[in-house]
Amino acid sequence: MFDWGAPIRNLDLLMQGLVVTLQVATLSFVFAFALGLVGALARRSHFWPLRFVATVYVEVIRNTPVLLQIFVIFFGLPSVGIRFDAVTAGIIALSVNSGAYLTEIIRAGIQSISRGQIEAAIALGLTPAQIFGRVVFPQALRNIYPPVVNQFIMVLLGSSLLSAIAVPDLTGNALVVNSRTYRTVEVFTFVTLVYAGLTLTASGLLNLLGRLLFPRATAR
Amino acid sequence: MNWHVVWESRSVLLGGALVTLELSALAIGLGTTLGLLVALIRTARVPVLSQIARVYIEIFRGSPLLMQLFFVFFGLPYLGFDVSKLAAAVWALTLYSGAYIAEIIRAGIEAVPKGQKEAAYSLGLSPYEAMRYVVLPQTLTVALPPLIGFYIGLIKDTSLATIIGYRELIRESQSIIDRTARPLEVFTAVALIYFVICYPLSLLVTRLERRVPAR
Amino acid sequence: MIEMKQVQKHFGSLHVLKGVDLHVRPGEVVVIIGPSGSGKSTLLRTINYLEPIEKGEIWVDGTPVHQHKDLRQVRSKVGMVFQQFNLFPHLNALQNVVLAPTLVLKKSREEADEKGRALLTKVGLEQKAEAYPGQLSGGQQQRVAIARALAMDPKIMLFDEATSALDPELVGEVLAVMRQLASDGMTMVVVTHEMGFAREAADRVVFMDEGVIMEEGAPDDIFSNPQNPRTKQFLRRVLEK
Repeated sequence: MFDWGAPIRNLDLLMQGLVVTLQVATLSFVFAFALGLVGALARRSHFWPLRFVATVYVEVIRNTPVLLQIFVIFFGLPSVGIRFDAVTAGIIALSVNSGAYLTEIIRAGIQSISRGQIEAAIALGLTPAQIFGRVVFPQALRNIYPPVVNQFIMVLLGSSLLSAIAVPDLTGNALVVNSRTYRTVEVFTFVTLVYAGLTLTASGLLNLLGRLLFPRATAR
Repeated sequence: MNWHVVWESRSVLLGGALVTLELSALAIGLGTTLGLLVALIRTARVPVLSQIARVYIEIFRGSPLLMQLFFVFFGLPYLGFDVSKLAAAVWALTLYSGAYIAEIIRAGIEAVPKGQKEAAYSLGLSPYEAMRYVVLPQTLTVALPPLIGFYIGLIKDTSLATIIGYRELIRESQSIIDRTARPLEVFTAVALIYFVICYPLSLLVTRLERRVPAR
Repeated sequence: MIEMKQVQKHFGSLHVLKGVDLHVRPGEVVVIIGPSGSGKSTLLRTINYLEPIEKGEIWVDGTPVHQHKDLRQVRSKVGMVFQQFNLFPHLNALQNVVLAPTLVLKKSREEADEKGRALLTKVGLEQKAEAYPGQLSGGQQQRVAIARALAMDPKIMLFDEATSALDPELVGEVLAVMRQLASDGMTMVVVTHEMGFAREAADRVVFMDEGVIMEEGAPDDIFSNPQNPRTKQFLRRVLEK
């Protein structure tokens, strides 16, 4: 009754989807991290309008569904004349979404650095930029590495939602293969296992990288 | 901007919000029950079952919820089982959240110091009594903030049911947009509804998190 | 009351109990002393089978604990007081005391409460019945823990370094309760670093080192006239302080 050859015969299409998934997730994550860094600095700014904008950004994004955010950018913005293709819209939505979570993660990381570290750096005559770049941020990065890795996995899994706006990612192409072969269980089982393998590999590799980058941080 | 269309569609939007809340409540209730069960199986190291539990957790945390939803919605009929859109959404959300909640509760159980169980045993409590009266009540204080945090995610994730055509909040809003061609206004209203549901919970998490380290 | 024969235990490759024999008579107060890592806490924890053993026999009030049978029944007869108190932080002092009597002995709430308050009075904490562990000092917590163990009407009380985690000024209040118990005729096995308590309250002092009992006897003999060179060395070191 089962035909497990169906996903294998359409491997090329599924692998194309996998490549799109990886590209979209990686690009979104890079943008999201940049956004998160800016957001975290803004939330710690002494200039209150900046703090306010950042807080509104974080709270609005974290308390509404990412699918809605995707729809707003892809279906909503064209009504005011801003148009993106599906992949671009998807990357923007995922970046903006994940950026809000990363803002909070990075902010907590910066906050975890003790006041004494900053005072010591001031006493040594470092400039504010040097203090942040050389003392605070490297230590914060070590503290936040595990949740940041987790966030990357979330982006990877969340990118499957872009199939709803017809992005040809792994999930999108799985739907195509499904409608071609009508081998629903076989195709979806295969794709689910590909995702599970992907996330396990990604988190394994990234944790390994973490252990190399921050020898003591992951000893906990 | 034309907010008039939103006001005219208010009953449809609120109806959709209610459906979203219903779906959320079902998913939270069933997912928590499943998660607690799986966490207990894993911490008690029940042979065979606890290995199955591990594989379950890895697969459902390692793959997208949307894939799981498709699996239930398209896969079960393929195997000869009838599922409604609601049942498919509830099943998928339950299986998905059960895997995450199991890990949250397990972490909470493991955070309770070993001496607590020893003290309970030394008083003659059975393993069940020690878990029920000594360990689990303490687990709750540790696990509650991440648990509620996850519930917020789950409420937002019910929106995925729109992709299989279930008439929750987003699907209702799309039908309004089809009629009125005012996507931004309608989506803003939908965002506001989600925000009103989720933000109080977010505030609660922040408050609870501040309380825990004080112990 | 307690009969241990050739008890052996490993932690991984570490041989912590190398065939220990110990006999405790009803009403006897046995104090176990020895350097840290000597296996004395482990020995105590084998009595109610919190630590499983590999070889040997342990009989508690006629029950073969080493056969892993009727464990709950044995444990309800053996009270234990821990170094870290291990009070249940989500329950107040009285709730800590009445939990096991209502669950294990199936006592009614009223009966358990009455007895619980009487025990808290006995340890001098009748005012603190509604306080949570986090609101109590270490010494108060440990006295609640003693009351909690006594609520089961134990035939034997085990004390695992009950004063080691306390600030020095709080040690006395806990030792006073323990002395009172000893003079009431409770069978007690006490692991402690408090040599003063061993000297005054013990019927018998047991010196352990490297997983074996090196020497045992009446406190006067052990403290004034130790025979084993290891005992002499240990006592010289601790009594100097």
